Amino acid sequence: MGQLACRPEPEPFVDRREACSDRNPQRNLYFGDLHVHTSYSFDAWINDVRTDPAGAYRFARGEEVAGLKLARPLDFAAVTDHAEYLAEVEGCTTPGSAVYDSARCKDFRAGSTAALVNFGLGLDGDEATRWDDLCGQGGLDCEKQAGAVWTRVQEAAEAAYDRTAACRFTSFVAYEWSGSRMLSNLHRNVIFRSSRVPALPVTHFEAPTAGELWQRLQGDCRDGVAGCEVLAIPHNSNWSNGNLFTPEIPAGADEAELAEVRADLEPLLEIYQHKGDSECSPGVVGLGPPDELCGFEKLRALPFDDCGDGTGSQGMVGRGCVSRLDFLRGILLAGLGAEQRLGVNPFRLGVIASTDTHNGTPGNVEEATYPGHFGVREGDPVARLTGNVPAGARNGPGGLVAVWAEENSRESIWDALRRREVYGTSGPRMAVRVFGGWDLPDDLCDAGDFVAAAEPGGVPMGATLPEWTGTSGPVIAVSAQMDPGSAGAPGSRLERIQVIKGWQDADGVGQIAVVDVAGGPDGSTVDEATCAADQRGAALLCGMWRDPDFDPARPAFYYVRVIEDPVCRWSWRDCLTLAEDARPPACTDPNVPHTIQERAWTSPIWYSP
Amino acid sequence: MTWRAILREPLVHFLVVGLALFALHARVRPEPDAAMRVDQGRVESTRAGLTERLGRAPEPGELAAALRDALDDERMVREALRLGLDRDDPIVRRRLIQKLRLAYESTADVDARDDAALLALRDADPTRYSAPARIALTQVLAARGRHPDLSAAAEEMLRRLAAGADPAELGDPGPHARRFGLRPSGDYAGLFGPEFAAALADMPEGTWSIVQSPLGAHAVRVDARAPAELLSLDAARPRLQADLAERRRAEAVRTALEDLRRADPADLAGLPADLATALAEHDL
Repeated sequence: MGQLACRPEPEPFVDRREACSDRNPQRNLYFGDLHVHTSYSFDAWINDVRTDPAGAYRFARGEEVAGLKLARPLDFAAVTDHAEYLAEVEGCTTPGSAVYDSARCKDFRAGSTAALVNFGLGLDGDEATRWDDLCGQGGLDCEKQAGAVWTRVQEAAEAAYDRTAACRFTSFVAYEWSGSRMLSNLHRNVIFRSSRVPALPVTHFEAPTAGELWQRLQGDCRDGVAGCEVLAIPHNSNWSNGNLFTPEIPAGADEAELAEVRADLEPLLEIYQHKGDSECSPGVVGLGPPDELCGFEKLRALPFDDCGDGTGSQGMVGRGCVSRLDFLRGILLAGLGAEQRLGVNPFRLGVIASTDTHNGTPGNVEEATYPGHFGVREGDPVARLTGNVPAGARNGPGGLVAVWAEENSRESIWDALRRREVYGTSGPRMAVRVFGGWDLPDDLCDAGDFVAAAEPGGVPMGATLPEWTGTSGPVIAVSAQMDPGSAGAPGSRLERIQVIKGWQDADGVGQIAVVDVAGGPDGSTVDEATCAADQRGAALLCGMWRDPDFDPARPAFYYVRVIEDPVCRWSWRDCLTLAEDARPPACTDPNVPHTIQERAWTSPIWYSP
Repeated sequence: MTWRAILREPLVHFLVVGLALFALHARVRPEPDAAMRVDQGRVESTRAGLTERLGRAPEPGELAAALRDALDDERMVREALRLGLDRDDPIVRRRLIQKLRLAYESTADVDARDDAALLALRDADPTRYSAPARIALTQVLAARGRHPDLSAAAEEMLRRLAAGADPAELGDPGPHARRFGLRPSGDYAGLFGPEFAAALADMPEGTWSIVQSPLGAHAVRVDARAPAELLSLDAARPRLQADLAERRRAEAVRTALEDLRRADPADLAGLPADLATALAEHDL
């Protein structure tokens, strides 16, 4: 290992605050949203969204904003507006600014599709620069203006953060770095650990590649501001034609060193949000045996080309090949391969989900009350079912990130993200606990305190198993409790728990196995005429599984998927509100299912020989 | 009168707001014929926009078409306005209302944040600026579906706990820790459902009770309570400042609306006198 391994742990508490009155060494569960756009993002403003970061945090805390209100507040949230165009949006929307009357700003305010496309295309490619007509001579001082907006972002986070002992809500200072190349998505959300952050966000304009982003985060934050700590979370690998997780090795660079930097700054993957699921997919070789649950919320529907060992382009407009490196399973397997080759795994990725809302409404994930995610462009049932940003009826409300942390404070939640003791859900708040170990008690799932009994001999989700000591494979133990729901909106029961194992076989080929470890198909049904659900599943499932085919010489990972009984999908609920002859084609499209089995995906536990 | 005192005068506020709106209007009001004028600058900026969008320089025909489309748009807008098509259109109305609201909001002074104003805001809504009441508890779950007779299982659990059994030895193997420190009572609704949280309100401390939830039957013991506590000005300051700014924006809209109501009163002539009087009392 290089220098990074010697980097000291961050101070336990950087921000001044009262100690939380509930600090639980056995860890509490907190739900949040780490991907939220507001009116500060060009593509939200242009669609008439006027909720700003302060409004988004108020919404997350349970207040009514723009006519919407969460049935249950979130425990934490990060507003992640596009770092690019912070100054330009401000200038174009402030009467009297130096650029307000420019043609580009008029186009922008008109909200035309052409303007949206131009602003979007302006971010593409390594050569992208700020527009001269807005940021050049006679235009805005874009750096200064972006700094002013960034200060307001920080103030909004500060106002929302509960620094009292009640520890009711945590906000994070954050932004989205929005790079793409040939319309293959490379976006990352950058989340800071405390209020100590650099004076400006890093944009795609100054740092066109991920490598340069990491360099800037290291320099501007870790080396530049005392107490600053940061991580970056890639999302929508399903939009990247294999590019997000094909390492780029600039000439003369050391591959192992780059892998180490990546592993250090990017410990997580957002595998689910408004724009679909990135766990696995039918039609792509290398993601395991047929698994019907992989058809879940796919942005790209067959037919499409498999990228194989290559990469493609234009994923962000639904084109180009689809790669195994667009999906968690393929990425984790590639990580095992790199580990064998380089001695370091660049893709030791934990799992989160979020919404990517462009309405400034973090955590608004209910299928039954989905208002669209993209302002007026998705403001009514027909618009949602016929839209194309980017996949119309195949989009969804997005998910949540769940965190096992000692307390609801910035440092505690961020540290849990860093150690990957986190999981993602497609929206519901089921509680899922995973431990892995060589000698976990056999009766963990019988009765009594699961956590107290499993903790001493096990490691939690996100961790690496201790050195192999036994004579057999590791045990994965999972306890899952259904989402209790909210007043008037009961949660769904649990159908099953699955363990997904990935490993390299003796020929170095990645393999996947999917095993049911508790529950199973239970005969639940949904009446599609009324959306009434007859759920037969469990309130609590607990399962233990010992890997029967363990090879101590080969690295492996184990992650868990928890499946709920089905309910009506948002799109079908929208269809039911329309007269039959007024329903758009999406209502009869076989690629748009009428029901959905919501789920959770946990961070893996790894074995490393 | 000092400058400070002058600045506090409502009449001065009124004048400043009026001037600001006037200036704003002068800036955003388009010059009537500019939209139909095609000069070299407009040609070049259209060409630049097309070049970006197409990834190449536009053909002369493409350039002309783009200019013509923009002029046609303007012609159609003018004709539509002449025909009064904007009047009954809900989308047009929504846009106009939104623009005016933003214009009013931008006249609010959101930067003045003296402590007296912040304190007044806090004391007007103490619940909002208090740390919430908190509860510490221990809970053990008998989950629905895991016991042939849920009530009997819960009663048995209760009996053993009351007799001093260790909570860690009982109940079903759930994902949560058995003990929770002092947390906002609302947190428990998220963890175990609204029924569970509601039952905590009147639960005595130190004794075990059974609570039903969608998950099953919980044996619960409240270990401690902490009352809600009004925040100090320093602790509440960032939130108060944000709320004060929000409030002043709302106030600016309200004040402007009052003027509009006076300038453009409702016509209640067609109503019976008593109903008209009753409605008029509500600033109709």
